[in-house]
Amino acid sequence: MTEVALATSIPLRLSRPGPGGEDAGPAWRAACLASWPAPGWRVVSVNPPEEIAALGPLPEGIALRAAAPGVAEAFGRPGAWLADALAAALATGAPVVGLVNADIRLDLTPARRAALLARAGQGLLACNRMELGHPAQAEGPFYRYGYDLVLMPRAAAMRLELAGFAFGVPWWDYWILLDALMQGLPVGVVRCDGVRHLAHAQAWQGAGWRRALATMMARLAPRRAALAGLGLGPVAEAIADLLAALAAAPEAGYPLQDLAERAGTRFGLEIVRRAERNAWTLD
Amino acid sequence: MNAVWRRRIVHDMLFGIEGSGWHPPELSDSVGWRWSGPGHLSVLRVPAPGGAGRGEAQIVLTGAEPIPDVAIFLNGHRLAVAPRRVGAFAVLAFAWDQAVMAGEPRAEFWFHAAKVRHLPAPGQGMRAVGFRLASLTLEAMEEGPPAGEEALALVAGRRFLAEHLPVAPGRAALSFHAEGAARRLEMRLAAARIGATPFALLPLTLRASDAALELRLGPPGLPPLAATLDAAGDLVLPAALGAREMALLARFLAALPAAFAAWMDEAMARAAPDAELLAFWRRALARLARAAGTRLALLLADGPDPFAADPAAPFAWPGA
Repeated sequence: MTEVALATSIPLRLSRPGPGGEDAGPAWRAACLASWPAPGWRVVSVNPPEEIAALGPLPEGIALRAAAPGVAEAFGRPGAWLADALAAALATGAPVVGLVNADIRLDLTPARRAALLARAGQGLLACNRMELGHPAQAEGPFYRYGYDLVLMPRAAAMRLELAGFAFGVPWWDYWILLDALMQGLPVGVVRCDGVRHLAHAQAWQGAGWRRALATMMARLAPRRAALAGLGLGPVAEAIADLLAALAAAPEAGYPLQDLAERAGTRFGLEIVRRAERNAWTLD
Repeated sequence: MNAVWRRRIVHDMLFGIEGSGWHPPELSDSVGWRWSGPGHLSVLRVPAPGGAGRGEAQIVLTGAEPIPDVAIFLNGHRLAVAPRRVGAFAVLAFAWDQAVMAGEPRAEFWFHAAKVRHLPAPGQGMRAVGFRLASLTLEAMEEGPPAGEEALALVAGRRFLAEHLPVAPGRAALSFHAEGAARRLEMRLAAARIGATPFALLPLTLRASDAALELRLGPPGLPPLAATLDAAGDLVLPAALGAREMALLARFLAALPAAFAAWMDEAMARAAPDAELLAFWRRALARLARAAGTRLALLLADGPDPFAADPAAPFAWPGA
């Protein structure tokens, strides 16, 4: 029986700086893939059709689905829509579904998997990642400003409004939390050293980051009243209003790009702070 | 191996903080922090779980920068700190037992940096800095009462007492002295108020020895009130006071830690203090405040009604 179905989008290749200048990406990719499936845990990777044949053999417990089109056109590189991926996870019938970034290695004991399953059945869990400089590193710092594994009850997944968000594009993790919170769904932030990530340079900056932020603010604007109900405070709400206005008029001149980056960063921090009102450590 | 969930409270230094001895927040490469400084002692007051707990201070490091030498105090108790390097951070892990949080409305952390250096400030001149605190995370080690269980009684009680037994310790100026094995603290409280009576200056002397904490309080020209907190924690207040004055004095003594905290925030800028001495008096005042609170509870439960008197009546100072 499938208890947890994770959706992801496995890249054709992964490149990560390794010791001595070698590329640690291929080994890390393989380790990540191997770490996801477990008894009761299945994985669905949603990829553009042209990638599927090139992915090669995958570990048992990982299935492939063809992605809906449009990501390359929207963001300039192929990928999968989150709504598409989550629908694939829901289609398994699992009571708990989730999203995991493809460069995350899950070092989870059966007890930890069971603990996550039990709690994710009650509400959305967003897990911070532990940053590693080397795959064999025992301990690294947690990255508080992002969520690389998100688990939730299937009923919650069916209510999320993920249109316009894609894997690998910034802001999707913040949006899921915000959307859930605005719907009154329970949200918890989890720090667990079994959610591991091999550090790399930031992939998204500048225009792509701002475009993804504008997507989020466009989704948020019609739900302004629900945002007010989260108790973020007047500064956060004013920033949200500013970002919504900037998203609606991105070419309005100096110095709105800079303003959007500053305000967007602060708004992201506000989402993190709101979510961390219910923060947990899983030992 | 069992999996264990622990509730975590996160204090992000990028946001507004309550305390002193911190420079404005900065953010670089998705890591945010505040430099401690310009003094050696930085104060951070945060909500915290009651009872025993554990925590971590995450300090940002640059390159091969060594882990800074930082002593951590919680509510005047020095904590054993276990430092370790984790990537680009120094993590200072610590734990505390139940007694450290007993009777404390929140957690007051002191970070004492052994070294302060001068670095260029963004867009300005030089500034004195100690270490870069990114966040403070706290976890309860035991189950506390459900949130809000006694909130109504606490809120109503505090509001009632503030209205009917108002006190204000005023602005404190402190000096520290030694008397052989004993220690003496002189507090000069400006613009204090007890009940409806204001005091332009209200000197208070605390003398701490192994046996007791002795207190003398009185404005110039009036005989001082004497009180004693014995080693067992019993507070003896002047018998000459009426019921309302007794209750007001207990309330006033319970407010002294707030005056001490405000003095710390003001006096520690650019200071290189004796943190252990400050901690000693922080604990002594907390002990006195707890005993005063207990004394007030006994007075309200068993004594004459202190609320029967006119709240606008002046404080009847014995011998005045």
